[in-house]
Amino acid sequence: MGPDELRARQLLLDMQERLGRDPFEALGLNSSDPGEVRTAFLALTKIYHPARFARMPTEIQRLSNEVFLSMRAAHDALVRPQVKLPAPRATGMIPIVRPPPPAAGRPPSGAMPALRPTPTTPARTMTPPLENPIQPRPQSPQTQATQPMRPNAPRTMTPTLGNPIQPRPHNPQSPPSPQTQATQPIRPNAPRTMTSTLGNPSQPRPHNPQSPQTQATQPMRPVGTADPARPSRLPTSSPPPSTISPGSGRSAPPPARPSGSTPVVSTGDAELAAIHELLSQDRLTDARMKLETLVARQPNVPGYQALIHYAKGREAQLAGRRDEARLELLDALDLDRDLQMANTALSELLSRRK
Amino acid sequence: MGRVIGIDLGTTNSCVAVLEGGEATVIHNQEGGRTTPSMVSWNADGDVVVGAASKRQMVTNPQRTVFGAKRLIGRKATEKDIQDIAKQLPYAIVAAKNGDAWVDIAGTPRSPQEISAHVLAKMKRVAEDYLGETVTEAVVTVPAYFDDVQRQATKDAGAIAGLTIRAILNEPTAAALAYGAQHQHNQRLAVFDLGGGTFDISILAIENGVFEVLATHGDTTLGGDDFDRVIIDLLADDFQSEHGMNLRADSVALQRLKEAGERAKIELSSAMTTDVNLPFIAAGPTGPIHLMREIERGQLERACKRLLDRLDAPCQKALSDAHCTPQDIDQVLLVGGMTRMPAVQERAVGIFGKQPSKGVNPDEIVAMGAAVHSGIMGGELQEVVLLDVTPHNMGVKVAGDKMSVVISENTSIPTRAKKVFATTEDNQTFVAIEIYQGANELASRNRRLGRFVLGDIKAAPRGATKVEVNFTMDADGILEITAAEIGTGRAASVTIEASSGLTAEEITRLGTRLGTHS
Repeated sequence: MGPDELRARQLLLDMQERLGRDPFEALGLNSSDPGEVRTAFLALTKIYHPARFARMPTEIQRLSNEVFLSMRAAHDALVRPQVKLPAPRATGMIPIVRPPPPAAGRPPSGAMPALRPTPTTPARTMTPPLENPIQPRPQSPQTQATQPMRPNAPRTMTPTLGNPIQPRPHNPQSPPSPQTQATQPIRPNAPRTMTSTLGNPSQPRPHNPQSPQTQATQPMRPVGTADPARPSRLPTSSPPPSTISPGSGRSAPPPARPSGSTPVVSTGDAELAAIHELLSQDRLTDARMKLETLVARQPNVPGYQALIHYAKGREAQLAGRRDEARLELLDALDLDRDLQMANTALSELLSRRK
Repeated sequence: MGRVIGIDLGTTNSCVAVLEGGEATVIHNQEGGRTTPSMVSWNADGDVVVGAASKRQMVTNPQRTVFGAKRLIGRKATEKDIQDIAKQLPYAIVAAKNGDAWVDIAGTPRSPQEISAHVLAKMKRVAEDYLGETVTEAVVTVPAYFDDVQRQATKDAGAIAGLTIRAILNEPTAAALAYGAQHQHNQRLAVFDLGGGTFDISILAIENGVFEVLATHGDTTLGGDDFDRVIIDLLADDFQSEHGMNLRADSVALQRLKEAGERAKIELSSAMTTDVNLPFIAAGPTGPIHLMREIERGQLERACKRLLDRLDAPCQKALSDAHCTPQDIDQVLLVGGMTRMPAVQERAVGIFGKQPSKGVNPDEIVAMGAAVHSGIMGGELQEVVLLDVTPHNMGVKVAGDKMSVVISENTSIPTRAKKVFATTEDNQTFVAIEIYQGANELASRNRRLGRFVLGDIKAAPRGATKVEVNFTMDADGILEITAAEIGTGRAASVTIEASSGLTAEEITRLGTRLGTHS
C-alpha cells in the first residue's frame, strides 16, 4: 500500500472509530438541530463518500462503504429522534409509512409531507401485501441502515422461502385473516408495525429489539393495509400528522433552495461589529450567543451562518479537533468567500498540519 | 496514476471527455467530430471499421454494419423487445449459447460487448491522441434504467477495450453533474434524457455541492430509433400501397430508408416540412422506382403520438417518488439528441411546467458529467460528490414465486437492509435464497441475479426457524448478501456479480483480437 492508500485507510478507520464511539461528536455537531445535522452530513459526505476511494484497493473501497453506511445511519438516527412518536419507534413501522404519492408533493420548503394514515384506507384495504396494486414498498433500506442501535429488530416478515411447498398462514398469497392474527396474542410486539405507525397513543408498545422471533412471522403489511385485528381502533388513532413526518425512510433534506438571494450582511451593523470584535479576540462562546440571537431573527442571512461556522470551526481548531475545524471553516468560506478570518484560520490549520 | 476519461457510450453516438483544470473538455475525434457514431462494421476483408467511416459505408454493407448494439447488450434473444427490434434491423440477431442476443456477421456470431468494445477502444484512442498518454481507466455512462446484467456487460466491453471501468454512471446523473458543476447553488433538477435508444428521467437535489438523486425512472425501449422507425413505416407503408412492394424486405432499401428517416426527423426539428428523395429505391416491372415525398412536421408528430405519450408516466412516477411537484423543480435539463424534437420539448414543458435550461448541449453533457465524476474520484473536485440511487427493486423469491423486496427502487446507495424469513416445511434443514431484481411482483418475471444456500439449519417445525437475510449494496450498485439463522448464527454469504455471459478467458481473447491486451 502506498502512502495515499495508507492515509485513506487511516482517515476511514478514524472516522469509523469515532462513529462507533459517539456519532454526535463524529459528525462534529454542537446541536441536534436537523439543519445542522444535515449540513454536517453533507460536508462529511464530500470527504468520505466511496466515490472518493474508487481508485483505491478493494479493501479500502469496502471500508469506505462501511464508513459511509455508518455515517448515514448516524445522520438518520440523529435526525429521527426529533420526531415525537407516541408509540415506541418500533423499527418495522417506518418503512411501512412510506407516504403515498402525494398529490401536492413535497412542499418546496423540503418538509416531508405529513404521513397521515387516512382512517378509511386501512379499513378498506385488506389486500395481501404483494398483490397490492400500489406496489408496496415493504421497507426502505435506508431506514434500516439508519437504525444501527437496533440491530436485532427485524422488520419484515414476508414469509418463507426455500422449498415453497405449503405456504404458512402468513403467506402474502392469503391475506392475514383476523383469526390468524387473533391466535397470536402472545406476540405483543408483532403487529406493532402498523399500529404504532398509526400512532395509537393509548397502546404504548414496549419496543423490544431483543426478540426478533416474536416479530418474525408476522406478515408485513404495505401502505394502506391495517392489522385486521384492530380496525375498530383506527378512527381513534389519529396522531398529529406532523409528529411522524420523517418516517418515509428517505431523510428529509432541508430546502434545496438557493439562499443566496438574501444579502450577505443586512442589518444589525452595530451588533455585527461587536461580534466581529469578539471573534477577533477568540471569545467564541460570547460571539456565538450573540450570533444565535441574530440568526433567530434573520435565519437566512448567509453571512451570519458563515460566522457561526467560523466560530465553531475556530473553537474546534483551538480544541485540536482539526477535521471538524477544517469542515466548519470551509463551510464558513462557502457561505462567505470574503470572510478573511476564516481564511486565516484555515491556512493556519493547514500549515500546522504539515 | 494515469487519467480517468469519461465516455458516454451512446446508442447512436458516443462522446469522450476529460477533466482539464477542473473543467470537463469534450475531445474531438480524428475526423474532427465531437461525437462518434456508435457503429462498427466488418468489411469484405474482415477489417473492422468504427465510427464515421462505418456509417459512411453502411449503405453498401448493411448486413455487416452494426448500429445500436447498446439496445442488445445484456439482453436475451427471446425477449419481446429484442425480437421487435430484430425485425427492423438489416443485420441478423442470433441467440448465443446462453440465449443472449448476439449479432451474426457473415457467419460469425459476435457479442454486443465485443461490438461496444470497438467503440470504446475508438474513444480511448481519441483520448490518447489528445492527451499524448496511455489511458487505461474510464467512467462510462449507461441509461439509469439499465439492470445489473446490462451494466456488467458494459464493464466487460470496457475490459475487452483495455479499459478498467472505475464507475458506471447513470446518464441523467452525469448530465446533472456536468450542469451542476457550473451552477453549484442549491436547487432541484429534473433531467429529461431521451437518447437514441432509451428514455430516463431523474430528479436530483443539489445541496451544498452534494448531488443527491431523489428518484429515477425510465423506459429502456423508447428512443430515437423508435422515432426513426415511425418514419420508415410511414414511407414504406405508402410505398407499399402505391407500388405493392415491401421495401423493408430489402436490406439495402431498408438501410436507405433508415438514413433518410433519421435525416428527415432531424430536419423537421427546425423546418416545418422536409423532402425525402430516394431515387432507384426499387426495381419495378417497368423500370426503376423512385421514392419522393414530402413530410410535414405535424404528420410526423401525429405518427409519433404513441411514443410521445410514453414519456409521461415515468416522469410522474419519478416526481412522486421524489416527493416533488413540478413547481419544486428549479431547472429542467434536456439531454439526448431526441430532445431537439419540438414535440418532445413540448411534452417536457407540459409535464414540468417550465422552459428547459438553455446552453446545455444534449449530445455532450453526459460525457462531460462522466469526466466530472472522474474528477470526484481523482480528488480534483473536492467540493462535489454524488449520491445516486438504485433504480431497481432487489429482493428474494419466496413461496408462491413472490418477489419479496429487500431494497426498493430509488433507495440511495450505498445502503444496507435486511429481512427475516421463516421456513416453509417441517424439519427443513436448508433454505435456498434466490436473488431477483425488478419491479414485477412475480419473482420469475424479474431478472434473476443469483442463488445461494444456507444449510445445516436447525430442524424444527415449519415457521419456527427464522433466517435473516442481509443485503448490502455498495456505491457501485454491487450487491453482497448474507443470510444467518437467527439464534444459531449459522451464516452464508454471496457477492452477486452479474454475469454478462462472457467468461474472463473470452474477454481476454477478444481483447487480444482487438489489440488492447498483450
